[in-house]
Amino acid sequence: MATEPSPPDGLRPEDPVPSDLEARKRKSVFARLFRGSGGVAVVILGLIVLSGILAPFLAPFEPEFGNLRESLLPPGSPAKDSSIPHLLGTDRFGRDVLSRVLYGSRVSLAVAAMAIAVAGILGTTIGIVAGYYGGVVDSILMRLADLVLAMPIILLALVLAVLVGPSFFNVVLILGAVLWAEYARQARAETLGIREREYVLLSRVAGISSIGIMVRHILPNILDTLLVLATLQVARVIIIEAALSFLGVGIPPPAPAWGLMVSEGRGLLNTSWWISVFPGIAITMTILTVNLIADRLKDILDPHGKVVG
Amino acid sequence: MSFLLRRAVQGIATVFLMSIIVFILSRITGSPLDYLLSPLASEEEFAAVAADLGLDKPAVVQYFTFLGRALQGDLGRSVYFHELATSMIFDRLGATVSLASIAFILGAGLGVPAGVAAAVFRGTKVDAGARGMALFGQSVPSFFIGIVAIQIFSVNLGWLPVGGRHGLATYVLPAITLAAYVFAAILRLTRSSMIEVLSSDYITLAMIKGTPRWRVIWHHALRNALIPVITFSGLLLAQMLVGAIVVETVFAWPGLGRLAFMAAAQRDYPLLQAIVIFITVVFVLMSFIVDVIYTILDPRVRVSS
Repeated sequence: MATEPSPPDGLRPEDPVPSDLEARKRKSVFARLFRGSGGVAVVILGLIVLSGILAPFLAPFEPEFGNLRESLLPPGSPAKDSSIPHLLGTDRFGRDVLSRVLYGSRVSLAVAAMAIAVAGILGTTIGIVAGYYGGVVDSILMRLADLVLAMPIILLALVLAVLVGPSFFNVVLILGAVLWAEYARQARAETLGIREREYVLLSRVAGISSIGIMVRHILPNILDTLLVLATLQVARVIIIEAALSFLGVGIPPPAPAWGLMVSEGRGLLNTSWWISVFPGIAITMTILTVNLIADRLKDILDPHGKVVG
Repeated sequence: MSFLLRRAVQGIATVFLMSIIVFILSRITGSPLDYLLSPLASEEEFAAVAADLGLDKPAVVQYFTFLGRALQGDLGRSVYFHELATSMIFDRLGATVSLASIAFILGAGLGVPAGVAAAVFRGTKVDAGARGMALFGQSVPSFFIGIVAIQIFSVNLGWLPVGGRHGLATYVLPAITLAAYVFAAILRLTRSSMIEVLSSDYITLAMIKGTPRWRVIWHHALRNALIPVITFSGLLLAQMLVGAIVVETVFAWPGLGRLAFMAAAQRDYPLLQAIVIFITVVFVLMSFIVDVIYTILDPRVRVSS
């Protein structure tokens, strides 16, 4: 019988933590994260992030401009006005695929980071307010969250995209608007537990305002699990952005978004496979490594399955 | 029973909430007249059409007119196709439901046994293999699987049609593409839920009493471990009706997802809003069915909560 070894009593966020213990705990988190395939994933993802940050230095060509005379060149073809060849070929407009893939990681990661920030801040605020005040406010906000969670995300995003039109920041706002509900639910559930704790009651007696209690006492105690939730969401955000861009309602051309690049090469797969395949591999590698790391982090930071995501 | 009754009332409230949101969104982002009339139309023409559609009345009155029509099954007309939105939706439903069911049966049929095997052989190569497959299924975007599959199996090998819906062969590629995600999600959920159940006292007791191992696993444990899987499956199926937007677009599948995408591409708000309301109704019905199954599988629900 494979019974799970009961994990040692984890540190609860509300317990006072001696600083050396905290440091040791953090160290073991990193040690466990890097073990085996986790280490490989961290290294690959690190390279992807670096290539995004350093894209202006690494990319041999302009990502959004190409020479029409050099269109559809296969990988490795020499370039006319540069000694560096087009390592991954060129697309229909003669743009260098490698340069676009490198810049593309910038687009994906920037959208993901900003969208998660928007969703996290919005959702956490809504969740804490709903959990703290309860009553009608709570019912309405949570119905709304259920509704958002139930709808197919791509459909919601499509509706919003139609209403606001495509642009980089609109994509960020749309993703934030469809992803806040999970944070709201998580934040609310935990706020309900903390609201009744003695120190919260005492702060109230001591005359601290509701906002003060929510910001100073509730928020710090639920931040841990919300961060786990955020890491679990990274992969989803990237995949949704890629799908929206693929469908033509996400990042507008000529920006080098991976989903857009896959769709641009769709009709040319037979003759110029490199246009779609390289960005496709880039998306897959990014999501694969992010998923692997998020899984690991969840196992380490949330062994009891407090986060529902 | 009161549990189910409460869920039914909540469900109806959800549909109303969605209708209000959809109505407000359509109004704050511009008058419907902007897409109904040519920009060159005169003031009088605008006023005439506005009066004709009831747009000159207060917003609350407009909402109740909209609601009244919706309750009679009239969700408006597509701006682009000039057809009734509901009849367009029902025309496409068959294609979507058949594809989604095949993909679901395929994904869940493989995902549940794989998840059970991963949980039973936790920490072994079987587990690692199953988790690896799930990770992969969750990580490759469906549009990428789709276009690569079309290239290999339709264009290069010529075994299967490129897209469209005419005969069984056209189901193969879109169903497998769609099933990849279902498989991954169901496998992961079954695995984690099964691990939890297998470590509970009553399973240990059944083992001590000498019940055969296969019976404990497939009968005692799986029955309980499947409860969260069933909840999730209900929602997943409801989502797949439109969640297949990407797959249906890649394979030119004449379903609801593609209709939603075309509506979006053509900025056909009335059609899109009808689809959203329709999906909300489907979702509410689906979660109600899940609740009913729940009360049968887990009698505790009937008493508590």
